[in-house]
Amino acid sequence: MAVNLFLSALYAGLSVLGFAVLFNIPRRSLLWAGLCGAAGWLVFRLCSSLGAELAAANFLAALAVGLCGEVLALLRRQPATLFIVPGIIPLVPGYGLYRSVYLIISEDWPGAMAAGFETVLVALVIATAILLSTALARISGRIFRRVPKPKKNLI
Amino acid sequence: MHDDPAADAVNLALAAGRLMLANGGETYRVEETIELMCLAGKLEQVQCFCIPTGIFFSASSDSRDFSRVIRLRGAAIDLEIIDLVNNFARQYTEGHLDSAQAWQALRDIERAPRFNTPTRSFFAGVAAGFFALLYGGTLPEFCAAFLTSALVTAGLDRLVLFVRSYYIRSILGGVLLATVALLFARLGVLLGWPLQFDAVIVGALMPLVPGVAITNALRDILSGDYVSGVSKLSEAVFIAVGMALGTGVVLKVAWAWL
Repeated sequence: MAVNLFLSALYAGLSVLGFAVLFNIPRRSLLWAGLCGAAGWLVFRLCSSLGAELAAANFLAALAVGLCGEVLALLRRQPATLFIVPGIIPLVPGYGLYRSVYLIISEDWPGAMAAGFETVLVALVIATAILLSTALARISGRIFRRVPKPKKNLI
Repeated sequence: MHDDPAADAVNLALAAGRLMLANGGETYRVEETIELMCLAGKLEQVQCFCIPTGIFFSASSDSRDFSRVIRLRGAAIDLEIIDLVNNFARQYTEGHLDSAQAWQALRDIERAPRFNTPTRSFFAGVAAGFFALLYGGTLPEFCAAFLTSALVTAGLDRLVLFVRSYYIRSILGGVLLATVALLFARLGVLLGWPLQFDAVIVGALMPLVPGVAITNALRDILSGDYVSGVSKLSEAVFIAVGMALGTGVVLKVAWAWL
């Protein structure tokens, strides 16, 4: 069980590594992005095996990826996107979106509806988790004075 | 260009923003970069509105007003360029670069090397292969997904040069992918190594389906960049439509035929 869990996290990390190259990530960030992805998938599988529903598991996993990304961004002085975009790949419902359209052209309406709703739900919780982690990073940055306050002259 | 520092600052900021947007930078990041760079160049009333296909901009200096529209087509995600421009903008706003240095830095960033097609194919294969494993595949599925995805990526990298429409590219990518995957499935049967076809398809599709795009679209909508979010959403949906049509045609014909 535990071996399976870590093996699947390893697969996810290696897959994310591949994606990171497709996204032309700077080489020195490659391994970190893979680690982020593996962490996210580990949380996802862990939550699923503990009985969490799809939305909850995806939310927590994406939150883990987002927080990992923000911490790495702070430590390595690079944008968090660098780690988050490849890191959420195993969670993101690209295949779900494809499958909903595929079921539509197969005229399987109930199946298409189910796949479509699932896609929207998963994308929504992942986006929420990423926004939340960004917000948390900004709040903590404000508290610890790591991020200079942006100057804006609106008027 | 160099006699008016305000105009130079505007041009620099927009060049940096454009570079970011064309390489998949988030809407808020592009807008923020342009605004901060302009403010560092002593411009006032800086307004910037970004959507995936363009930038609308206006600002004023002591002597004149600026308004610019930049039209963009087709963004591909390039994280290295986002990182470099981000760094560049920070150095520029902190005043470490003069105009000539800044332009040189931007030109260097634009020419930053990309991974070449063989490398990209190999890593697309890695991404797809391990994804097939995640979805219940074993060694044969890994190999089939690896080869399918590598071939499709190589093909699509070539296709980008001829076909401008992302929709047509998605359809052709789907056709290619389903054909290759089916051939491997047949080969597997002939060799006495039957494949779990679904795992192969999921794995090989992963590098092409718009998962990141749909998540980014929702992220934009949820942070209040509605126009940007909706346009990204429509792109994601129609990439998926193209892929489903492409694979669908092949798979359904093959099913009827086999």
